Amino acid sequence: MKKSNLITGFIYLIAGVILLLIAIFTNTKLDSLLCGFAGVGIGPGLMIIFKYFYWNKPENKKRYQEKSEKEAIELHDELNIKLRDKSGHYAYVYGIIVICFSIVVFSILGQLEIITHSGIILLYLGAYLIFQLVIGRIIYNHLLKRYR
Amino acid sequence: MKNRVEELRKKLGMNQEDFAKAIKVSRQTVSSIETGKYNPSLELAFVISDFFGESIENIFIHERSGENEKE
Repeated sequence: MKKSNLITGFIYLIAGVILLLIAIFTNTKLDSLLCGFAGVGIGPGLMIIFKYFYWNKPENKKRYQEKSEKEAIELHDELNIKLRDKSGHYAYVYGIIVICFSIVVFSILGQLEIITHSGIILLYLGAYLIFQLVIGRIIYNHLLKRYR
Repeated sequence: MKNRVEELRKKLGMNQEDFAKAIKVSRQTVSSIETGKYNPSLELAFVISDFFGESIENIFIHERSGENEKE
C-alpha cells in the first residue's frame, strides 16, 4: 500500500479528533452533527491506518498484490462498466420519478395542513428536480462533443 | 452471438479464471461471452483474437441477415 494512504488515514483521524474535541468542549446546537462528523473521520481513519500496516506486512504483500490486480480488473472490466452505466441511468430515471411523486405527496400534505412548512420542502424538491434534468442534459451535450 | 471462445480456451487447458486474468477481464465477463449473453467490444474481440492466434471471424460467428452483403 502506498504511503499516501497512511497520510490520508492520519488526516481523517486528526480531523475527526479535532471535531470531537470541539463538540466536547463547546456547547452549541451543532454538537450532535459535530460528533457525527467526528465519527466519519475517526472510524475510516483508523481503518485506513490499520489496513496500511496489515497489508504492508511481508507475509501479506503477495496477497495484497493479487487483491490489487483483481480490483483493477474489476474496475476496468467492460461488462462491469456497461452495467454500472446502465444501472446509473435507471437510478437517474427512477430518481426523477420519485422526486415528482414526492412533490405531489408533499403538496397534498401541505394543502391538507398535515405538515407545516411544506412550501420550503416543495421549493427544495422542485429545485432538485430542475437541477437533475438540467445537469443530465449538460453532461449529455458535453459527452456528445467528443463524437463530433 | 455464437462463438468458439470456450472451445479454444479448453484446447489450451485453461479455466475461465486464468483466461480472464490473461485477457484482463473478470471471470463473469468470460462466462457471459462464452454463453453468448454478452458480445465483447471490438477492442476486447481483438485481444481475444490475438490471444488465440485466430481471426475474429473464426472465433465469433456472426449470423448475417444478408441485407447488407454485396452479391
